[in-house]
Amino acid sequence: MKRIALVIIGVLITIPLAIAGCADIEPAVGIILEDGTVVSSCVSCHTDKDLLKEVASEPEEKVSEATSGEG
Amino acid sequence: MEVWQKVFLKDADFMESTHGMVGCVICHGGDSSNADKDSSHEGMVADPSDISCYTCHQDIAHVNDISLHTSLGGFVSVLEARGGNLEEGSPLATAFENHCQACHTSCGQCHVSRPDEVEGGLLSSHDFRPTPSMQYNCVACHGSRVGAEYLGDNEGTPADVHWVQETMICTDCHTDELHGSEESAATRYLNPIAVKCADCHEDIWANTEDNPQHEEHLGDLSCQVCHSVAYKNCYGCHVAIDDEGIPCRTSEPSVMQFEIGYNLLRSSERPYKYVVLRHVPTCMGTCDYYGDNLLPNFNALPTWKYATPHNIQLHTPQNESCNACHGNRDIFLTGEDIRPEETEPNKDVIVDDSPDPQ
Repeated sequence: MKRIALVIIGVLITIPLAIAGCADIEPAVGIILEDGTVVSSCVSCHTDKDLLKEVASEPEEKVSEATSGEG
Repeated sequence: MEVWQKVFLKDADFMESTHGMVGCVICHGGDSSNADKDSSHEGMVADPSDISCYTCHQDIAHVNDISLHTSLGGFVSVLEARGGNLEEGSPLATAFENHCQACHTSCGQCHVSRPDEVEGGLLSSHDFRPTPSMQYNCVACHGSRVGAEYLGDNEGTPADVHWVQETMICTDCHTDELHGSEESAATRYLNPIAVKCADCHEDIWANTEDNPQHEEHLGDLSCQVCHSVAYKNCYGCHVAIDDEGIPCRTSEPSVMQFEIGYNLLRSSERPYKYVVLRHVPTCMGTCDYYGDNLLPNFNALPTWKYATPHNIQLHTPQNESCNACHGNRDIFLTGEDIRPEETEPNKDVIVDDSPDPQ
């Protein structure tokens, strides 16, 4: 009887753990603010004009000075 | 456009839209949980059109794959027809990659941002615009010839009547054809769903009784023969790599000309005997930098090709009277208009027996 009880308890513990282990982990979708709000860093940065002015850059595209005429 | 403007979102409203709810990372990659600029952008794809759009928009994707905007099939077909070898690693393929490939566009470069060729930049936050902007998308690439003609930017020639009177934009006429059709067309004129004047002006074909010129000429002359004016012609394009290793090109100054010639694309859709011809920028030595004689059958195609100038007018110099055209050799492409080295490829489009005066 004692053995059966242990098996039941074991099963009850194991199943939830197995389920939790197999479940998809929620991907992180943003940065977590102090108040717990999750904000996408993509949106928070790309809506911040001042920040973008400060940090935005792009690879310099070289245009040949030898090019002339219409394309 | 400043760099920051190119990637600036006015607000987060986009995130409420269907596309926005998908989330940035699903399409663009990167790491939205990371506030550091460099590491959050690691693996990010600025223009994910080729992968992301097709997942949901398969109805458009399967034809867009073979559209000329995507495949550059128009370039490929003429280079191959002139004997060019575009196999990977060939000198011409290298030239193509360096100089032609930039004209490729994608879903996003018409519906979300300006094309890369004109340095990109979001059109209006990250909004998906079903209709591309005429100014920032279509004319951004097609501005030198068609755009300038349509908007009247060529000195001395008026803007197109469709723009002046109706403010029509490119997509008012050019609709599904921009995504290509079920058939892989070698040129835009061979696209079975290419726009035609008759799509809107069907009445002109149905009722010619009130217009003796239409009665006489419809079917023999393309609309542009009577209703377009001088347009831009380009000559002597040469491509190369400059001393700093950057691709470059040169061409001769363009010339405003109006030339009527024979139609080599005659079909049930385009039955005209006479059409307007435009000189292409390409010449026999265009790719000489990359090797000798890379277009060994250059003469297989004319250098004056079927054209549809976008500067349509009701009244033009050549339709003022019968003899404004009949007997007016100046508006016909004759042997005198052809450069000596281009006589052979253009022999079938030259009109040396232009109509006699009435």
